[in-house]
Amino acid sequence: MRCPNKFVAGSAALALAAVIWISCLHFFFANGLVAFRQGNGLSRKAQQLAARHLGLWTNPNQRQQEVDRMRARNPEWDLMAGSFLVWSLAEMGLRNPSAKAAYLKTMDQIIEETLHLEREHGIYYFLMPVAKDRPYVMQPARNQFLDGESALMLASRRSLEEKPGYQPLLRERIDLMLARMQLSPVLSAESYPDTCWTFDNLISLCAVRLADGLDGTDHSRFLHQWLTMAKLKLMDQRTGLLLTSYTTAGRPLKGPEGSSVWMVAHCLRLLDEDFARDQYQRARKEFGRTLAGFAWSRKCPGSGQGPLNKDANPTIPFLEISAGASGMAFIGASSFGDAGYLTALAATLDFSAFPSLKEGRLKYCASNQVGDAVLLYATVLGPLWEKTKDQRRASDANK
Amino acid sequence: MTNKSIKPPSAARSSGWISPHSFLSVAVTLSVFFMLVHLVGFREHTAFLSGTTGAVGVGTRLSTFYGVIYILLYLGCVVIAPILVLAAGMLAFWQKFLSPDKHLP
Repeated sequence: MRCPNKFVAGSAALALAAVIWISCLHFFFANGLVAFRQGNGLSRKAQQLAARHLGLWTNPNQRQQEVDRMRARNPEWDLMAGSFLVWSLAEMGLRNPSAKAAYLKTMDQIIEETLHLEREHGIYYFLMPVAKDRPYVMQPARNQFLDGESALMLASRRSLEEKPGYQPLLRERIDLMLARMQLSPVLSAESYPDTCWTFDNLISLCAVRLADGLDGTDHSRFLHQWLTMAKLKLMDQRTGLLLTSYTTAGRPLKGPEGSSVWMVAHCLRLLDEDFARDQYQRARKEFGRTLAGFAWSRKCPGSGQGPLNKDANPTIPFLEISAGASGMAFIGASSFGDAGYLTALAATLDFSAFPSLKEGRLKYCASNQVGDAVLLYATVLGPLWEKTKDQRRASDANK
Repeated sequence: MTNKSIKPPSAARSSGWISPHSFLSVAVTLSVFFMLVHLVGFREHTAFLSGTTGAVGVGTRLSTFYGVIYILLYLGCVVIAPILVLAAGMLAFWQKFLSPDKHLP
């Protein structure tokens, strides 16, 4: 009877040890929420992530390597890495005005390069090759992804500090976007041929709201129309979440996805706080998962499988962990002050994204430039939306 | 015929592996291998998780392979090895104080 006893004792010891260790593991990766995000000023992670990104923009060779790595997989990430960095720097400038000059310099560098690349290569440069498979419905063809992100970059830069040269550029882009959006029965413009993305159209609407505050224009009627339309025509019936993409006629293409829904909820906060919070809570239920002190986001909603996106990051099976969706979940959790989820996400990040800190510059090896820029944005977002809402309230009070 | 000779083969294999010493040996081995791949820079290749390659000049497949090796050994070192160390301690305690075999010569 000696062997069976030993086998049982060994198995029991392993099982008990596994339960103890796995339930305690997150404590070793929990650096505290303050290390990731602070109400005022810049957290340690924000400073370290920003140092790496600012460094890339002073080292063209290193940045080109990062760009090449991203573009080989998805050219959209090239634009998004710059956009999220510009938006982050605007937030950082509002949090830390003493460093504003350095932030403005990099913001201008990114904006100028983006506009230059658009002029040089056209609207397809930041799109996947599939964009050329068929013509755009709205002619002449434009790309709402590029228009929206560029407009929000320009508006964010001007919100931090006015630059007269950017005012006509922003005005022109907003006029173009609004004119095209109004051509569609669902008030949305295409990013890919006959494909409108909620993510891109909401970013465009955020740029419109910022521009209204900066230039004294008023598009509140259109913004209200868009929100009313979206609640009627762009909702996924099963989850109550906004669709990810749809045709210019409003036919659904993709249901809610984790790579989009968190940023959508964050953008909605600038337009309709109650609707935004409802979307966030639904997203938490459908996509947010926690286990043993760790958290992540699924790619597809929990109450059903959606189609997988070919350009998506790999998804880890069984737990359905999506790296891309989990990165975006930081934005949702930060925006809505979901401290518990954010703490658990941060523990997962340090456990599974392989941080590498060299000379005060932080990057996550399992991530890439756009992933790290999204994380940086999550560490600092807030002041720009608050400033814009304050401008809006002041404007309404004066009427 | 001795007791040893009538053990089922599977039980014999299990009893050889299930000992505090074996658990600690596996834990140390995992940790040493992890340290080796960490020192040679395989950490960079975990970038495959975000759909990109880890280093310039390394093909996607090779980079993914290095990344998978790194992640498996990382999990071995950070998740499995501590469990083995804890289990070794529990097993040693059981053998010393609770096992009926402790009275055997």
